[in-house]
Amino acid sequence: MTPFFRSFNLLFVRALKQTTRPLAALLPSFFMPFFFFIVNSAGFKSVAKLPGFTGGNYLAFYAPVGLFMAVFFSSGDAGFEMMLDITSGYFEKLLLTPVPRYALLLPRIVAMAVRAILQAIVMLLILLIFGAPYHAGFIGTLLLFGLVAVFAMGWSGVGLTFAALTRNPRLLQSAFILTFPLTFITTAQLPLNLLSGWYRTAVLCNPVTYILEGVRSIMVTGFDSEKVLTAYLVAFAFLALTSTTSLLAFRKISK
Amino acid sequence: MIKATNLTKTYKGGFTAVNDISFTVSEGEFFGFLGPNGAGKTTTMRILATLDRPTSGSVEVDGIDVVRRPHDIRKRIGFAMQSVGLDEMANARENLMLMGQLYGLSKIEAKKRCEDLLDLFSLKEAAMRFVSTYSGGMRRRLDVAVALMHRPKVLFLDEPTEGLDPAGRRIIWKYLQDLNSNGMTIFLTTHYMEEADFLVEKLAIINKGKLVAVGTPKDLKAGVGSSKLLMRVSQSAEARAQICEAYPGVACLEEDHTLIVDLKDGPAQVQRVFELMGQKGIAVEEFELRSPTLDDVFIKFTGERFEDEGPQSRDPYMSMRPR
Repeated sequence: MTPFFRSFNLLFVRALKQTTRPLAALLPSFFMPFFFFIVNSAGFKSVAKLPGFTGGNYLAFYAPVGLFMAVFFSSGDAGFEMMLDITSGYFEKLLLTPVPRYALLLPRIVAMAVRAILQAIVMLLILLIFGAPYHAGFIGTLLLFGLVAVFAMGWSGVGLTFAALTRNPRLLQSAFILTFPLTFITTAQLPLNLLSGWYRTAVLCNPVTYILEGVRSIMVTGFDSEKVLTAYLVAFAFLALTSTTSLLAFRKISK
Repeated sequence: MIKATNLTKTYKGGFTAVNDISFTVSEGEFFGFLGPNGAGKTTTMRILATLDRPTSGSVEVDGIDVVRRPHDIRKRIGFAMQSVGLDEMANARENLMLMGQLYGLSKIEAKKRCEDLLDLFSLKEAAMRFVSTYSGGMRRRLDVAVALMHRPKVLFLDEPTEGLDPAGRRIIWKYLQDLNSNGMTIFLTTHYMEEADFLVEKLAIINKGKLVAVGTPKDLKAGVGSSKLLMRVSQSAEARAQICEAYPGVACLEEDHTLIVDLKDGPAQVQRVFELMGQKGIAVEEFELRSPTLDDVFIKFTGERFEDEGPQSRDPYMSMRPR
């Protein structure tokens, strides 16, 4: 095994352990999506009666949002975990080791993909227990997990970039607020055909909209290859962008 | 083993933390780098350990340039930093195993080394507990153990006993002496004079980014002067003044009711002084025999006390006052 892959492997296992310690810290990433799922699917039940609503019942329409949020809200943790290492002095300990520099960063991103898949599985089970429909077959399920994994890696790059650039826990914490507009200025609440004006334009400009539509297409509304392909393209483009920014920011602090 | 030549580090904004310093450390030497807080010790050490780049000058560790070949240096050094850097949400074994393997040890080698170090640093019982539950002393010991996992040729220690109680400090000192006696080169920064005096073979004193003295503790202290006998006597100020006048070599510090005798003839002179005091009927309430300390060396070279108290008199008697 080359030094890069050997180091990658060791740090990948460490990153996975880090994301699950303490275990209780994982609960909010399930609780919040579950809370939104229960409250919104009950509160907006009558929205399904609106003319032009195309998502079946509202619980079915909102279930993909619950699953997506579980992944979205937690994949920013990569930045928090790196910030913990920076503030504790452990990051400098890692910099002192003779491992290739990028082997210190990439395992965190890949660990987030694994965590995203595991979280998606757990969240999916919770949603199924609470009555959410699930129409994806085996291939659809693989595509679903692949999509959330790629997006999770992309979003973890945002956290890592902020962590490396600011090296300030409070500033990093404030970046978490971005998840709300990115989650809700989408088709999370209503289908695109019921949106209008500037809000519709903002929704169309938000890359998260396309990921969510892809997830919804696989899970609930029937496999739409165009939507799934678009979702994958957007997710990979987002991953390419944030990987570049995080690598550049990382290079700055690991000189 | 370490050679720094005209090393300078100036930060953005123009602050020069290290200003044109040069020194060498021989293989197997226990080298001390002393100075008050903010003197430039940590900056120098970070450059030596590849964590910072010098603005100018050059540094070689084991014959390798730290700027050109940092990767090769990292394999050869261990660094226990001023602030302990451990994975708090991992246990001691995990911390040691990961670092060992990142430095290239096989899993079997790392496991053996890990158990040896846990034994050596008395951490075996706590080895499976998360580091976040450790006391300050345990963290410090584990931090040093981590730095030793890959058997480095040079160990950098940045104030390794900062914040430890005297007993904890002694434990670390014992480990360090053992390591050094086994041939490891140790570069230690400290602002504890007692620590440097106890441990190091050779030292450099840095103040405000400049090296002010380099030598063995013995030679540096010998350069300050001879031992002194301090005696607190009850006689009146007038009587004390008369004594000082009558017996050259005896200095008076009125404020403390203290007489100071410069023992130029060595400790044997102490007996003669007491006999003299007895003959003159002078009662000695307290006495103290003081040899020059590194604190005195620091005062001599910088004109300041070590504890960042600002400028002080260059009078060596200042440091002789009983505290």
